[in-house]
Amino acid sequence: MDELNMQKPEVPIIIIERDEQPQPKESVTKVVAPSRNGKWLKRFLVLVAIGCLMVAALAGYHFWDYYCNIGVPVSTTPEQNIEKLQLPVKQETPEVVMTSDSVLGVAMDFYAIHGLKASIQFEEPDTADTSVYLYCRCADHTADGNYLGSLVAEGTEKQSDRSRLGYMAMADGRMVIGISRSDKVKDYVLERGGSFFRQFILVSNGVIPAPFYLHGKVERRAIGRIGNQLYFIATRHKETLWDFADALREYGFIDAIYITGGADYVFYRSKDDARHDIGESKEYPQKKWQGIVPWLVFRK
Amino acid sequence: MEWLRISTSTELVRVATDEIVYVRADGNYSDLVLTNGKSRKMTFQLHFFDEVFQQLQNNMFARVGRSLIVNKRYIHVINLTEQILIFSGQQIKGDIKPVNVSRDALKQLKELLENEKGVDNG
Repeated sequence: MDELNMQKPEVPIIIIERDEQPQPKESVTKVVAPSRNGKWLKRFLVLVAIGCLMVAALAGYHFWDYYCNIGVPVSTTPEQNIEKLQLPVKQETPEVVMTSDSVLGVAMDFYAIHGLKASIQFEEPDTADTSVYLYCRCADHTADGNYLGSLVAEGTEKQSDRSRLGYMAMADGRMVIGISRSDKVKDYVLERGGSFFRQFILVSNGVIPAPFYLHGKVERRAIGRIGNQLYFIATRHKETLWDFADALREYGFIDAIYITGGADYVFYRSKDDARHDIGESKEYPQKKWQGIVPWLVFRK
Repeated sequence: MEWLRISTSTELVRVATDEIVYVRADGNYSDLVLTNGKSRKMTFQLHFFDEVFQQLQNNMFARVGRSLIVNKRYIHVINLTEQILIFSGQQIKGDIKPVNVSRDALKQLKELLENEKGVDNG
């Protein structure tokens, strides 16, 4: 027994003999254990299968995170915004109504936009142009002139980039803002010869997105929506992006997207066609990035 | 009548399947217990027996738990209370001691035998 116990288990050859078979030959069944190589191959294949499953799961998560998960609830789907763009234009007296308020310590001016048509152009509007009731910057661009986020100006696509999820679309005299990674609205606007840009989300369906990567304090601007009324909003003082977004949410904005150029000179025109400056007029006209800066212009 | 011709590195054992009462695992080895009451230590694992028994034309062997394969024709008593399996039969000439088996394994064996079709002598 001791000698036996020293041995490793064997792989026997077991043959079944049948002595009452009609066939003269014996039936032979060999039992052979899987070879060591086969065992390792099996383990390797299992590991490969597990690896493939993990990669597939990771890819699935990234797909969901990139294409589906915005991180905030959304008030209006792209399809609903396209429907809004297809509605007949509401006949209103063209005007910008300015009001002011301070919410959560953030002083803001609100410019309610009535009866105006928006478009994107690359030439800064002339202060003497009485058709312009309000204008501001919209999409960001890099130092080498590449736009950050999709940009369509008067039916011409300047950039296709879904890295920023807030958008504003203008076509056929109507304008909407929304939050989506989808390009459906952009494609619709492109077909209709309209304009479109993407920017950071500040408020989506009354909720602020969790992370903000801009922490500095500067003058802030935004385009927001309460019900169906669009507003251009500007802070009076330097604010962090989070404070600004929180104040907009608290004020009651359903959706709001960031507008770059918080300290730039712009103007709005009141009902009596009088021009009112926003920012320092000595900054007009903007000398840097002429022809590159996209301007969001509201005309009657 | 079927026979097993078992060849290992050190020996060749030839045994009629009818003479096997049960095979029991003993670590990496197997104990082959025959109707004459003798036991033979085989230097390989139990599953080789399990695999070859399944190739038999008239397979009377049943796996009982992880460590036992019994020849059903020699089962005399399955006692769940005492958790033992007692063997008997006309061919058994030697002294085959009862085997201790877990309750669950015995219960499964009992159900297996209960559900097997018997010979209708009527």
